[in-house]
Amino acid sequence: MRKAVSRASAVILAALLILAALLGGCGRRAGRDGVVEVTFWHGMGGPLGRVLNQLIDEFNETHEGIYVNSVSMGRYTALSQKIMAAVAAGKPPTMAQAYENWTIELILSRSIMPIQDFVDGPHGLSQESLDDILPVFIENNQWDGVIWSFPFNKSVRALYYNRDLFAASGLDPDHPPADWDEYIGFSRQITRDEDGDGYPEIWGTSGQVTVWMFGNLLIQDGGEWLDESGEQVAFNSRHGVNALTFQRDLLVGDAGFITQGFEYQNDFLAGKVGMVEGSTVSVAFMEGKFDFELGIAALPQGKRPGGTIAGTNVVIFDGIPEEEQLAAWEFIKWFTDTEQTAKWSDGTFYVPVRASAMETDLLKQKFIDYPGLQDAYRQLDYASFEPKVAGWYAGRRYLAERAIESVLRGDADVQGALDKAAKKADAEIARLKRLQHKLGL
Amino acid sequence: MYRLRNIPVHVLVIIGAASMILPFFWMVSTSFKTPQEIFLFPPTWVAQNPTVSNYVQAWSEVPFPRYFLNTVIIAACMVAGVIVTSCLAAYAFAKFDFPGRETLFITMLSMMIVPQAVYLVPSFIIVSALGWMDTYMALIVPWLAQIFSIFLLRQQFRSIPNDYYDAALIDGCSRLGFLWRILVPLSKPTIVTIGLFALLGSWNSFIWPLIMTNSDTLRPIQVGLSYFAQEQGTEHGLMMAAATFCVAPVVIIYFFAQKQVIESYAKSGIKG
Repeated sequence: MRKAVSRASAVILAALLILAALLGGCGRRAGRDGVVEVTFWHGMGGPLGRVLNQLIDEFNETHEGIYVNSVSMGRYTALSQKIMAAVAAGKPPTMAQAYENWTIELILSRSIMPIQDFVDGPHGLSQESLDDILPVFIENNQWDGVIWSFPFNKSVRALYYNRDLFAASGLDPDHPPADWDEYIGFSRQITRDEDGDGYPEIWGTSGQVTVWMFGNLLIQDGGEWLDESGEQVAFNSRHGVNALTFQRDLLVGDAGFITQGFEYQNDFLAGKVGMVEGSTVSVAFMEGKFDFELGIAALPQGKRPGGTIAGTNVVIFDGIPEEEQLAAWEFIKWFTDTEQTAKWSDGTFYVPVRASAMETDLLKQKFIDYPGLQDAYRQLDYASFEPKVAGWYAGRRYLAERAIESVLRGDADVQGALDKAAKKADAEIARLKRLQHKLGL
Repeated sequence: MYRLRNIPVHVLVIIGAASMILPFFWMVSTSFKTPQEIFLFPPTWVAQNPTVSNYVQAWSEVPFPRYFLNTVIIAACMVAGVIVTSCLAAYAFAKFDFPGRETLFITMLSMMIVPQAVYLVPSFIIVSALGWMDTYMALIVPWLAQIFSIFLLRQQFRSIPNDYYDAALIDGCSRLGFLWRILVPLSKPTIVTIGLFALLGSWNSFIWPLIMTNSDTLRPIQVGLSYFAQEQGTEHGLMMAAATFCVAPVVIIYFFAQKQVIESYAKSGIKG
């Protein structure tokens, strides 16, 4: 016994020493001579990551002297943690995906380069080329008139519906709901209690607790995110109340239900739900998983057309060699050019960032293969975006948790809940404003 | 009579076992289903048209062979390292008197309640300053000591009377000799337990390796698994296939180690 133990511990110690010696040497990549390496941190995995990596491979094959190293974090939360840590450690990558509310923090901490510098630079974009990019995406990436980030994977919200259920409920499958009244009316018409137990088996609609849906309804009702000063939220206006009231009536009434995360999508795929909202990208995840005829449409509209874009942009970091930055810009320019942005959209259902891409044969064919997709993409003509002010990151969370969640899951009074969330959001925006002022930014 | 009285207990145990097994059953069954069948309603228990295509695709889409190798290297180092450091630290805390012993121990324990999200950024900065970013060092070294294991083993060592220590030293045993010859053999069950904890911890670690590495050649299996679960949706078939072959090695190891684990627990009853 005694012998066995001491032998075992000797083996363990020896193994440790050998491994430690071995490990010291490995794990480093040999640099390639004369090749500029661009490290690109992103959050894309699954079917989206597949398409992204194909495009990156294509870029690497066609661009001698540049190698884009695609590093996937798989998800945005991990990506954001990693970016913030890397910036704090002074070891940023060359470029990364970033949401607008990360970008503002990166601007304030002087961690990124304005993309405007590259756009205006010797290898920049012509005015013609710049005008081809959909205006909503340029404005989305501008702070004080300067382009800081560049649109990368952007999407709009679409309505998906089960054409078979529409037909079975006496609705015209070629006529998706056009406005709020039809939206809730159709949902009620689809909802069915088949076995008479008082609990429907087939539901009109379903969804999760999301700011994205609320935002679309707010704009459609004529409301705005911020007031004229741009420093205080306005989502607690009567339009906000209308929006949240409608969201509640639709999702927690006699026609719909809310789920945790993306579960509603599974219920839709299982044929239990008539209509769901989702990002255009959701098609990529739904394909081949359902056994009915899928309809795609633009969102039902309110008093005015409105839709909010989502998805991230890319930023180029400061404090790294200029040749790497230029190589990163070369990649961004290539990726967002007509042909590639069309391919990206074709593979992932993210929207193309250029108007000219809509006219490519690739996307024209796609619009034929997926009827209704073009209508969903056309929402870009009037789409807008969420506030880009510092503090909106927290403000958005207050809106989600204190207002939308407590109204949808609880019995909170709509106006009161929105007012409470607005007060917290305003305080956060003001706090960051003071901080910026103090730092002389 | 004896049997009858046991029925409620058995029913409870069976319910418990079933609720533990059900998710795994669903995992394996889903991994053989076609994408269409996964969302069938009502759900099917067993795949109607079993396919291995999920396994083929999941295995080839993410560099799993490499991820497995990494996980095995990391897990082996962690298990060995944690056992060695825990034994040494627990020995000091349990058997030696030195100034500040209690303060140091309590300070260490209090670190356990700090959530990882809080120290992730500072850790990143430290690892980065050491030049360990994107190396095995970053994945292994910070985890070679674990507070909970030290705590567990210290409690175990303290239960062994100090008289043994005095007697051993009088008989000419060295201090390290006492640890290896007396304490460790008497504490085998606890050591097996902390080894298992270290194994499970390294097998399941996700956010740390994700943040500390950039290269595919260094990433462990959990990072590979996350590839199939995205913000925009999850590829259930691929996810469950990958989860099945990631869990399989641990199940197999336990299957073989089962006897030793139970034996070491049984033996522990004899100790003085």
